[in-house]
Amino acid sequence: MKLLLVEDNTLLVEELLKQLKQAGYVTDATDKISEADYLMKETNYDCVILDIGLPDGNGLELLERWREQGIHTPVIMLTARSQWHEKVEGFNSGADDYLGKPFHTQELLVRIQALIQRAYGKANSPNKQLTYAGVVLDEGQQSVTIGENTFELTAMEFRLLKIFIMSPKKLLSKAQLTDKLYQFDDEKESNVVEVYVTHLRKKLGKTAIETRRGQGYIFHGITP
Amino acid sequence: MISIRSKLSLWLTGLVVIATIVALIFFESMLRQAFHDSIIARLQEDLQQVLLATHIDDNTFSIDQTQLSNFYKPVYSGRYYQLDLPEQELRSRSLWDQRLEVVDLNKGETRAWQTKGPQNHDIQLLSIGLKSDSSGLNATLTVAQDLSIGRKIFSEIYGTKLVVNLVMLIAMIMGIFLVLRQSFKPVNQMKDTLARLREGEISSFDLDTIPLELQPLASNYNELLQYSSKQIERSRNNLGNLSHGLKTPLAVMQQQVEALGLKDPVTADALQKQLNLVHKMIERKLAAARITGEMLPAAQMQLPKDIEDLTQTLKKVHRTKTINCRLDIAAEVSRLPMHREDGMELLGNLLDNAFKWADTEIRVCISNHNQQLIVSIEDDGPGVKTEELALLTYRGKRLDEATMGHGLGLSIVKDIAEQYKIALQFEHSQSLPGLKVTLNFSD
Repeated sequence: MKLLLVEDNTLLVEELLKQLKQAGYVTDATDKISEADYLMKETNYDCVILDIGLPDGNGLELLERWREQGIHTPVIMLTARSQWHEKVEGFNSGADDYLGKPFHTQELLVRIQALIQRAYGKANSPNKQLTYAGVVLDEGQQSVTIGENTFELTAMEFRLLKIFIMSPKKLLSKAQLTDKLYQFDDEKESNVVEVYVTHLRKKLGKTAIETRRGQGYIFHGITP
Repeated sequence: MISIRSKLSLWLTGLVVIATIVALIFFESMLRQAFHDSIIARLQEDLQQVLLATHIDDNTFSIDQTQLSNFYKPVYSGRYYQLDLPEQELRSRSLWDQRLEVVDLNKGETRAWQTKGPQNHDIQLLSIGLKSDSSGLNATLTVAQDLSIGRKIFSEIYGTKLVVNLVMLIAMIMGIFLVLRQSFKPVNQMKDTLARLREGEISSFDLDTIPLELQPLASNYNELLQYSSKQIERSRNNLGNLSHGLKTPLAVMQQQVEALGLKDPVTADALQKQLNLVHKMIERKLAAARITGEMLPAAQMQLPKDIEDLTQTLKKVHRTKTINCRLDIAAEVSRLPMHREDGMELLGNLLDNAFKWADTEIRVCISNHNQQLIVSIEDDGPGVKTEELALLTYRGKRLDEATMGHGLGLSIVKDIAEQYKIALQFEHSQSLPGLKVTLNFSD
């Protein structure tokens, strides 16, 4: 799952990037409105964490612009402006959630997860488990359970499986998957998706992920 | 201090009364003098007439009645003469059996005086001393006139004058009151305007409707009002910026403390407590300092728009719940008399609380009966035990604050209510199973 963090306090960004990475997210961070706007148009983010007061503009105005342009990516406002009239303004501008600073990382993570699950049409799972067709992905443990067997997942495997399980039965192109696995500026290895699909198949079985040559992959899960 | 209007009324009335009395006294003495002078003039004429009619023959004086006017004939006619000689007295017929008490005078001497005459009427007398050149005989001639008739006329004139003056006096006093009332109308209007300013119905004095004398006062007041509302807005913004400015570094520290918690939980816990304290101070004290109090109408909370926005937001915040939030706002209530941001904070916190506890339904009622603006919020949640209701009202503290986020909501509500003198009441809802919070905006 890929996030965009728009925040100008470098220390906070540093800490948050660490925490988000640990939680299995790939996050692009910027402190500029213009760059955020550019990244948003280049990348398919699952969720945006947006501050209001930024050096080159107002986060709410950017959000309003996005909504007017038909960009419906879930946005959580992360701001020191946490009075009710400010929250009202935030939601009216198109925010999906609002978290006041200072905040507990856990709360931010819960809210991001809830927003992403809602965007993918999944019911909110309080026990941090995503289930599809016999595959149970534990987001807390970053492990997968099939029947009685539980397998630990590497960070990359976890990210990839989460993408699959959020969009089951859908054709996902290699480019789409790569895009979600790497940060914007990362050097992208061309065969990374193939490598990790192979890893996952070892744990889930061969039929869980179908390859459509030249097109991409479809996640089926285990039980039909 | 006594009002200018009463002072003016008293002074003007007093002056008019005094002026009237002085005028009456002056008029009375003038009239009396004129009356007296006219009588004396008449008596002098009479004296001349009687003198002409007086003849001396062989040392005897006689008065030719035919040369005299007929007034001296009827008894007690009111006009008399008397000629006093050493051995005799000649009196007009009108004197009948009365005689006038006369002092003998030397030749050329005159005397005018008043005394009681016939029928006990007041009479004016005028005597002159005479001497016959031939006989060397001394005589005193006296003429007299009854004053009662003249006095009657005098009283009539004076009485009429008195009535006219009294009527004029009353008219003038009424006039004074009317004129003063009319002149002080703008002052009363200003008083009304001030009340409306206080209520927040208008934002400044309209200088065109204010008399010249009061215009500097009104324009100064306008400037002061503008200045203070700017000042309030500025300090509000500054405090806001301060609190925002503090919160971001606080957020950084929060993250670092959480990271530290993995390595050194004891230190992290201690730091976390301090952070919570700072956060609480910012949320509570800085928020309280930002509460404005009374405000101009433009900055006030608009109904129903602002409250609809709030409930829409709350529905998004509490997305996982399906709550039917019913708004029942009286049509004539178009705003709450408080700064919009304070109003949003007050109702936001109360509604947030209701959304947290409610099962499926919330009712918000805003009514304005008999100038009493009342806002009530009810939910169908579990409610609060009777013995805890009082604590809620006094301490602004919900005993189980687990659902209250950081537990500051109700404290902030209390701070705002206190600042605006809003009576805050917690009770069992009658129509729903849960809690009812009532805000009474009239002192």
